[in-house]
Amino acid sequence: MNEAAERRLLDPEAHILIVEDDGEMRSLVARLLREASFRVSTARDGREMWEILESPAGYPDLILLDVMLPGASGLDLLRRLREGSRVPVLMLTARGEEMDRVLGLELGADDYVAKPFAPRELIARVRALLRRATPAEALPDPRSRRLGFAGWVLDTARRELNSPDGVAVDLSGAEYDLLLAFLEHPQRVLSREQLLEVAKRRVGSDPFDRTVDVQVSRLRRKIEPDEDSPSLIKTVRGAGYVLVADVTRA
Amino acid sequence: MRALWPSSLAGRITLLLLGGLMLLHIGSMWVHERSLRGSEQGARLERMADQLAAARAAVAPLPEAARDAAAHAISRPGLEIHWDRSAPMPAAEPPAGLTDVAARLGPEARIGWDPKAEPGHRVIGALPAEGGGWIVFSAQWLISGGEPLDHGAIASMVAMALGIALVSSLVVRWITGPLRRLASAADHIGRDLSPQPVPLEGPDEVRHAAVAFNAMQERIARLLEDRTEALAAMSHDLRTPLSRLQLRVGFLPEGEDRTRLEADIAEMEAMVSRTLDYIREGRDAEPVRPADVAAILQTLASDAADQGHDVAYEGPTRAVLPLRRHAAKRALSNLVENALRHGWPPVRLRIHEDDKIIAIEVADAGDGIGEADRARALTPFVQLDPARGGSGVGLGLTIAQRFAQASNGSLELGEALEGGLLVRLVLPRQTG
Repeated sequence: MNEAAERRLLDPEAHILIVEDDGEMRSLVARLLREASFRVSTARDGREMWEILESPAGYPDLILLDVMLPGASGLDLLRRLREGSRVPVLMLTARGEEMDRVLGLELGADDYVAKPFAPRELIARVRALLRRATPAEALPDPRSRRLGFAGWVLDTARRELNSPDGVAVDLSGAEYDLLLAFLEHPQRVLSREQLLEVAKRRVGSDPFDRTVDVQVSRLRRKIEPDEDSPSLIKTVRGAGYVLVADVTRA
Repeated sequence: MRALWPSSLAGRITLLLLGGLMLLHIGSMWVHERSLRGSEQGARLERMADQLAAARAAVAPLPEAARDAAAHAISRPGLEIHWDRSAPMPAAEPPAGLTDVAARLGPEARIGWDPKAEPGHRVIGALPAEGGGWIVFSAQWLISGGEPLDHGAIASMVAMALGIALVSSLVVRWITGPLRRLASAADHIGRDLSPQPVPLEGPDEVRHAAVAFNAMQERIARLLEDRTEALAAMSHDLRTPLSRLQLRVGFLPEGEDRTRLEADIAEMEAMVSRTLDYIREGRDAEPVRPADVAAILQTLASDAADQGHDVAYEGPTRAVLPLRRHAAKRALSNLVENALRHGWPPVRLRIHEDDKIIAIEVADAGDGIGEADRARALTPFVQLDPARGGSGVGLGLTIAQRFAQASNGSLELGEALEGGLLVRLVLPRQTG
């Protein structure tokens, strides 16, 4: 998908609210997003955020929320926000602060980017979230954070995959995104192109470097570790891949 | 001598008690024996004087021919008495003890000593008989000496020694117990950062040592805490300017300068995150739960391979053990980064397991680390090859080692089949 098509997809230009206390950081992120042709509002803290949310400027399509804010912390704001709104929230956390991340995702944030981040990565995550937030693809229940399939459980708040016998199985970022895509579309054949779109959400590595097939085979090795493990992801000749298990939400 | 002197305090105290009490025992036995023999000897001398007086009285009224027989009749075991016309001269000067005997028998008595005579007759003497001639006698050596101790005494001494050894070793173990606990607590310092207070028990001296020791632990913990806080604060604070820098660089036109700037920023970011990893290890309250360490290694290998590095995992598809998952991933990812940064590809990740442990190996094909430098390589903030660009802060191996120790495991450095460094992280299958 080229840049022009991307813009059409997000037309009219998406409105993004940045909540960040560091002035320079705020203006740099705003500039970055504007150059990527988003409409941007900025808020220094919670008070300004509420003002903008109630102003005629319009409700944002996505909120970029810094966790470390003076006064009410980003997590407090998130909790209050989630009491009445499903607006997608992308958290900015400090790298390595796993508690912030987990708490944020549990409180209803949709994704996070750790500071310091690569500009390309931020843009990719914002676009991925906006795409997912279209009504057809939104999760039916915003609180359903645990996806079960064939005894396995993917906890999307903790980004943790647990095997049927309760063992935590580590996933790479790309594997997680792929698995999530399969779980959101169980028993539907996903084409390589669709899966490549998913892989684009991660810009830590070049998604074109490794084919989708390699990523899928890595994911398979983890959820079908033994020869006699049941086959959960099947290859559909010439079409793509399909998750054959039922998915439950809890 | 050195071999006989025990090295432990308990051993020394036991030996001292044993030696002292044995000495006391032998001394008192000797004194007892002596006084017993002294009084016995007095009684014997008394009896001997009585018998000699009786012999004098018995021979007085008799004719000379009957005198010897009469005197001999009064003999008894240990004292042989005869009558003779003349007195024999003692063959040798009597030993000092004998003069007492002579004084007791009267001023005219002669007494002597014949070392060559039979054992029962070594003391010889004479005293003038009434009516002429001499009462001649030979007796046992009166003052005992050099007689061997009897079996009973030896047995009692051995029994006593064993008893003392047993009781004193028990008592001494009880006394030195608090000291041993103090030592083992001291051994734990620095292995984990949380101070482990020593219980205040045992004798006053040990109690004082424990109080001082706890205070010292407290101070060291605070010192470490302060230093770590400062380092953490600096690393935290660096992330904001780094974020700004990274964003700003994104607005620069594409080109070599921008590429280099981005590489520099990535390197600084890696240094900051490694420092934070180091600080976090051992401080996080991450719960231990079953996790698949093979999956972690596969992820690390895939991620590195996607970045274009020759890193691969060769091992079982599954290896489950109780683990702090995030800490383990941090530690292992630091090992992989370390291998890529300081070693040379190919980098291979392996797992060897048995029923007690799981050994995770990270091997590279670089120059490795010589045996002499291995201990230093594990020291925080030490880099062995500053000449090679000096990238990093020298924490990669340290983070992994701290993780290993906190998980009751170990970290060893060796030589890889590939020729470079082999880092072997051994983790127990059972925690605790």
